[in-house]
Amino acid sequence: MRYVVRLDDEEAAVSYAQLPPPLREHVSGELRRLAESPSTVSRRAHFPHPQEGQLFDVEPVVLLGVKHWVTIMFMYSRDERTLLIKWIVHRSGRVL
Amino acid sequence: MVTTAPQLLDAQLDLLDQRAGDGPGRQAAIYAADVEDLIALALETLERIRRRCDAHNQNGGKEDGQALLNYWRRWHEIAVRALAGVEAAESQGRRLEQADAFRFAINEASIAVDWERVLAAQQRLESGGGGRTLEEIENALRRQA
Repeated sequence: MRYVVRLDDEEAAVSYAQLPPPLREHVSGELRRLAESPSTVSRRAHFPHPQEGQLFDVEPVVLLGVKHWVTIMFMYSRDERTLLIKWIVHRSGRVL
Repeated sequence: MVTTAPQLLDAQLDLLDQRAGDGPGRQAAIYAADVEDLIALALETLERIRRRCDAHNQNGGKEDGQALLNYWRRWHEIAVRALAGVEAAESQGRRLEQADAFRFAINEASIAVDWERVLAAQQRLESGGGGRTLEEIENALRRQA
């Protein structure tokens, strides 16, 4: 079963829209990979909160000499049909 | 004298803090040779913080959640400083085995820095009030382009 992916409008959706377009395309593909099989590609978060959710590390990618590391925090909806994306973190660095 | 888990974690963070140096000005010359060890120490320290949080959640939240978040935040602050040393080593052509894992760990810890906003996002999503599907967002971005 493929999950629906839903992003919080005020945070995750904004972060997603701000990614450089080629990186956004990569992240979009990775979100679709996540939606196919979230339990096998994500890891549990460990923060001091009972409903903290899961973390998904996007496959690192090099675009125009810059490497990108993106981490996505999500949780399952109550009906287990949707992945609710709470937060997207993006870090980048130039590579040789 | 018995060393308690919090004392051990504090001591490990102090050690990491000391090894990370004081910023981009010093890191390349002094720490490049030890950068693999620095990453290993950082990841091990973070794993200790994760275990503390797990214990807290398993025990019904008896520990101070804010204090635990502060461990994450302190680790993040040190790790960002240590990253300057990692980048300096990489710029000299060194391939560091755990460099990706380290950057993902920094990403993870940065979530603690913005914890209140993360919780607010969670509450919006749980209430069903906020959020758009990936397809809706992509369609909107295409229209803007």
